[in-house]
Amino acid sequence: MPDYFIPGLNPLILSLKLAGVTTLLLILVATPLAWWLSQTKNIFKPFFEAIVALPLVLPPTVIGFYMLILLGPEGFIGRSWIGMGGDTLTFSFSGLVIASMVYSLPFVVQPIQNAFEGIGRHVLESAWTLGARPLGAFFSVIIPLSAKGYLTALVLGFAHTLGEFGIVLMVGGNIPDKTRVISIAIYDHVETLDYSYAHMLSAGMLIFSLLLLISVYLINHRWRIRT
Amino acid sequence: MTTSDITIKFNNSSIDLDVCFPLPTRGISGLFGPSGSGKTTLIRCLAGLEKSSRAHICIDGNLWQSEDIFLPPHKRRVGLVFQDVRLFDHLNVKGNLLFGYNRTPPSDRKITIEDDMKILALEPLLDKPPEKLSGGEAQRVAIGRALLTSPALLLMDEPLAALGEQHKKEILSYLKKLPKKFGIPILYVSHDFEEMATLSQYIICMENGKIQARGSALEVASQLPHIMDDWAPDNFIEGEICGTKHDQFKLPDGQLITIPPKFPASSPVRITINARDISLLRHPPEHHAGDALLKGRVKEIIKIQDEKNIIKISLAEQDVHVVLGLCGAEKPWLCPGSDVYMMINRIKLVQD
Repeated sequence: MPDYFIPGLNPLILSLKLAGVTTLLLILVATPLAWWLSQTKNIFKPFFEAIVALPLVLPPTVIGFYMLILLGPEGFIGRSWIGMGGDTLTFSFSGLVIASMVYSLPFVVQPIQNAFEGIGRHVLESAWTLGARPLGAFFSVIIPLSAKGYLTALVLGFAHTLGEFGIVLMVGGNIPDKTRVISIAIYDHVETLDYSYAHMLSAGMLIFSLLLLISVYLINHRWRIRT
Repeated sequence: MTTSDITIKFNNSSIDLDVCFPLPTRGISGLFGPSGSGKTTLIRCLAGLEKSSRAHICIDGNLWQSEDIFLPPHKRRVGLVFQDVRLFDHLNVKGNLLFGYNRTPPSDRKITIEDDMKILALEPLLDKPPEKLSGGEAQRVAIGRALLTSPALLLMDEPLAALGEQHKKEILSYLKKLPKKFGIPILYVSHDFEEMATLSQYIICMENGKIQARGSALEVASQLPHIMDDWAPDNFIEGEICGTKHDQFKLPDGQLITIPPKFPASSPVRITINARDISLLRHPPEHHAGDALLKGRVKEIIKIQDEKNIIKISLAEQDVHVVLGLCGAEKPWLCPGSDVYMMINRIKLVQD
């Protein structure tokens, strides 16, 4: 759909798509990682936790810079990807998803890890003695008991990816319909002094983010009342 | 006739467990010992939650563990009731009960949901979430949940320790019914010998990871003098109520004693007299009322330690145990075959 019908629609859809795909893939990656972190007695656990938390403190340009190198045709990830029959990752949507997963990793791993740690091993032991297989016990007991952690992870991961700017600019560039997400579009409009478009998109983002967070807090609140 | 044999060697930083014993395949067996004696570790090894270095566990003819076999917990057909209950908070009572039931192959199910709910009175709780249950209710659900997997062995790790007196009594009355009703052997852990003695016919006593004594409560107690400091066996005497005021208890041999009037006449009753509540006399005292004196014959004297003996007395073909401190001077008239008079100081009534 051409952008001029509803201004800003395409970057918005692209942003939502990027945030959605990134968050879902992250949940899949973060679940085993968070479980391992919550259970391991490895003396290097603090080291691994620090690695996961790094994107919280690094400037997005630093992550973006290293991701650009890794995802490039000569980089480790980029070369393997092309080796498996994929296209160049830099300045593509797929590359953007991979970079966003790194960027939002702590926002998804940490709430899930906290939820797992809050449950403790004894619940698993009950499930086993009641005849549940290890994996079955994980899905029928651990995951439902961590529902709140997952909800937090989903929302934080989604909202954080939606709001990213620096990494997208470094890894994805500014290609309409491919990598031009809403934050880039806003930046563009401001650069060209097109303030009315910038206003519209910014206000839209503001309201959407606010609604998203309100719904989470509402659900959390209900949860607390029920239990 | 199938048997259960258990040999476990297990050590970590806090315990050095080394036990070998046969386990009765019916009724409630008690595992008794002070805290830190390895009871919980033993239970966890039996359930497969700890991987013991060397173990041979054969329950009711099924091999759970040996040198090259280690069945994981979900394949052991073991039920485990923890002290801290551990219900699943994301499921209501019904969901908790069905969790194990649904995972038990239909051919292995020996207990129906209806029977389970009936004997533990769970029906009114079914739709409640676990956090709305009282401590006693939650423990009943945990027991019901474990029973519904029709385990070959039900392990109970101090299920009453976290409960108040009222809830304790309530759960105990349910527990007593279980073996007869469902025929599932129970291994019951406690550090309270009295609780154990009322529940179990067979007691295994542990200390420092080793078994010190096993057998009936009295056998265990007579091997371990320190137990006798806080505990004495209860005697159960059969007879019937008579007298115009229903305040006489008649033994099968015709002897009468006075009891509080509580039950109607000619109803068969059991009276309970603790072994400490009996004093022994050689002759009937000259000025006694005659309402609390029974005559019996000494059968055996079991020496516990220097100042303490258990005297086994035959009373109307029933055995009565009396704990007696000799207080220095020996009583030469107390010897097997001699007649003695028992002054009963306190009686508890039980109607079957």
